Amino acid sequence: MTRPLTQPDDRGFFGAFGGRFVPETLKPALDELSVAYAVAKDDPSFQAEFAEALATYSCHPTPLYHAERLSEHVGVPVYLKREDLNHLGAHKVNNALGQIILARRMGKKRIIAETGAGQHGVATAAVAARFGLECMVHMGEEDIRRQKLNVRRMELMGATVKPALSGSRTLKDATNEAIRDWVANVETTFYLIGSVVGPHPYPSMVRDFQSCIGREALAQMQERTGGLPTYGVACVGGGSNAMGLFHPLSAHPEIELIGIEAAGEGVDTERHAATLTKGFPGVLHGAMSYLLQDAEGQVTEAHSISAGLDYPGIGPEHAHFHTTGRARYESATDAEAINAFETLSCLEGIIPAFESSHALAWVLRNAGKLKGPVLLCLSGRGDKDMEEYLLHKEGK
Amino acid sequence: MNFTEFIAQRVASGRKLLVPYLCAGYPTPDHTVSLLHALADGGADFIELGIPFSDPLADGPVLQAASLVALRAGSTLEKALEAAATFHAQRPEVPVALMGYTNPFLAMGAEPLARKAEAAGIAALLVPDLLPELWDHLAAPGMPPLVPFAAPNTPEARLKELGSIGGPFLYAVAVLGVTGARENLSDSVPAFLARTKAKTGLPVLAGFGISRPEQVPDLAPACDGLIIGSALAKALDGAADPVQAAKDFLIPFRVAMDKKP
Ligand SMILES: Cc1ncc(COP(=O)(O)O)c(C=O)c1O
Repeated sequence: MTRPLTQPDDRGFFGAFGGRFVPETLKPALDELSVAYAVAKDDPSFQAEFAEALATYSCHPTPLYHAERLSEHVGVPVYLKREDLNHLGAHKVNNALGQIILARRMGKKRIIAETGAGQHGVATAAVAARFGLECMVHMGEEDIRRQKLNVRRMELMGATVKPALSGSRTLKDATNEAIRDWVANVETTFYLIGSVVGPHPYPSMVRDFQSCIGREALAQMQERTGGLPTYGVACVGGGSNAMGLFHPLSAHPEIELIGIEAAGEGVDTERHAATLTKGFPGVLHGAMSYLLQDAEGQVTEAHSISAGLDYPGIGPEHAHFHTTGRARYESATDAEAINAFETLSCLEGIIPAFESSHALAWVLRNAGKLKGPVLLCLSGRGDKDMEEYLLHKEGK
Repeated sequence: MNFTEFIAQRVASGRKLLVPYLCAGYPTPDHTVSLLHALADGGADFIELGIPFSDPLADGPVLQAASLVALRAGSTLEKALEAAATFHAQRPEVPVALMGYTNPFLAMGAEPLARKAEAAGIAALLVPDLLPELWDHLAAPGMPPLVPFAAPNTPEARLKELGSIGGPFLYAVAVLGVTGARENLSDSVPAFLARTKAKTGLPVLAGFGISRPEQVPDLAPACDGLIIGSALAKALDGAADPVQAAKDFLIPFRVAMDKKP
C-alpha cells in the first residue's frame, strides 16, 4: 500500500511549518511564481523541456551503483544514487535547471541566487549562461575568501559575484542579501533559491525539481533487486537532496528515512549545524521551520567542515517530517565525515563530497546493525573538498 | 482613547503625524528612555521602537548596522519593553509602537508578549515580515493591534483587502527596496500614497527612504504622516550627545510638517 505524498496547504504550510513570512513587497512576486509554477507543473511541454535538460545538459537518470566493498564492510547491500555524476558534480543543477526554465517562461531577464560554498552559485551561473540570462550570485565575503575557485568558475561563466558584507558574511547573510536584492528589483528579477527553503512555493517547487532523485532510485532499486530499500539516507543542509530522495520514498511506509545533519565539532559544542537536533521552531528567510537560535530569537551561526551543510535553518517539510516521525534526523561530526570521505575513496574509488560524507558516516556508524538494503544519495563529488581535506590532515 | 482613535483624531485635526523610528538599545540600552524623551521633545506624535534582529531582511545597511550595535550592547526585546514601560509611565501622551521581525516576538511567545506589551502601554505592533494572513501567529489576549503594510507594487485588489483587514493605520513602504535614506524619492510616490489612502480607507503613514525635511512638502499632502528611520540612525551614529542629536534632527521635520501649504 502506498501513501499519498505530502503537499503544502493553501497558506503554504506543511503542518506547522513553511508559509510565507515576507514583506508585502514580495507577496505579488510569490503569487506570480505560484501561479506560473502551478501552470508549468501540469504543462507537458514544460515537463518535457525539463526532462530533456536533465538528460542532456546533465546526465539523468544518474546511475544507481551497488557499492560492493562498502556493502561487505557494513554487512548489508548499499546502493549509491550517483548524483555526484551530474554536470558540475552535484544534485544542485537539477533544481537550477527547473527554476531557470520556469524563469524564462515567466519572461524574467535577471537571475539572482545565494550561495555558501559556491555549489549552487556555480549551478546557477551555468544554467544562466546556458539560457543567456543575466546572473548575479550573492556570496558572503568570508565564503568568497574560502572558495576562490568557485568564484572564478562563476565569473568565467559570466555571472557577477556580489560580496555579502553583513552579519557573519556567510550563507545566511548571502541569503538575506539575495532577498534584499529581490525586494528592490522584484519586477524584473527571478530569485533562484538553492534548497528546499524560503517562502512558499519554493520548498515544494525545489523538492519537485529534485524528486527525480527519489523517483529514479525507486525504479532502479526495484529493477535491480525486485524490492524496496530498508533505509533511505541523505545528508541535510537546507535539505534539497534529502527531500528529493525522501519525498518519492515516503509513499512507502516500510522505508525508513534518515536525514543526517552536520554535527561539526559535536552537538554539545557551539560549533555545529544540527538544526533539528539542537534548534527550535522559528522564522528565517521567509519560512517557519527549525532554527539554530538563542533564547531571544536571534539566529546563531552554524559550523560544519562542509560548507554546504553550514546553514542555521532547514527546509520546512523536513521540520514537518521530523514532527510527524516520517523521517528521523541524526547527525555526524566533522571527524566522522572525514573518516567516511576516506573510507569511500579507499573502498570504492569514489571521492564523495564532504556533505554526502555525512550520510555515509551514518552507514559506517551503524555497520553490523543494519537490517536491510541502504539507498544513499551521494549528492556530490569531493574534488571541491580536497584542499580543505589536506588542510585538515595537516591539522590546520 | 485607544490608539486607533488617537490616530483618527490627529488626522481629523489636520495635523500630519511625525513618527521617528528608534532602534531599541542603540547606541546602548541605557540610551533608550532618554532618546524616547528627546524624540517626544522634538515633536514626535508617536514613536516606533525597533527591536534588533540578527537577520533584518527588510533593512538597508544603516539599520542593519544599528541593529548589530544594539545587539552587541545587549539589547533585547525584554529590555525594549522595560524602556517603553518607563517612558509610558512618564509620558503617556506620546504612544510607543513596537516594530520588529517575527522571530524575536515568537521566541518570547505571543502570550507573554501580549501581557508585557499591554503592561508597557504599547500602542501597536509592526511586523514587516508577517503578512496579515499570518497574524494568527501573534494572536493572544491583550495583544496590541497589528499594522498592515503596502508597497508600490501592491495591486489595487490587495489594497482593498488590506483596508478591510484594517488597523490603526497603514504603513506605506514608499520604495521597492529596503530601508535606507534616499536623497530623492521617485516622482510616483505621492500618487502611490494617494491611491493607497483611497483604496484602503485607512490613515496612511509613509516610510522608507525619507531623509530630509525638504522632502516633506511633496510627500505630506498625499498621506497622513511620515516615518523616519535610517536618517535618524545616521544622525545618532557617532554623535557626542545622542539625546541632543535626536532632538535637533527631528525639529526641522516638525517645522516642515506643520507648515500649511
Ligand atoms: C554535494 C552537496 N550535497 C548537499 C548539499 C546540501 O544542500 P541540500 O541539503 O539542499 O541538499 C550541498 C550544498 O551545497 C552540496 O553541494
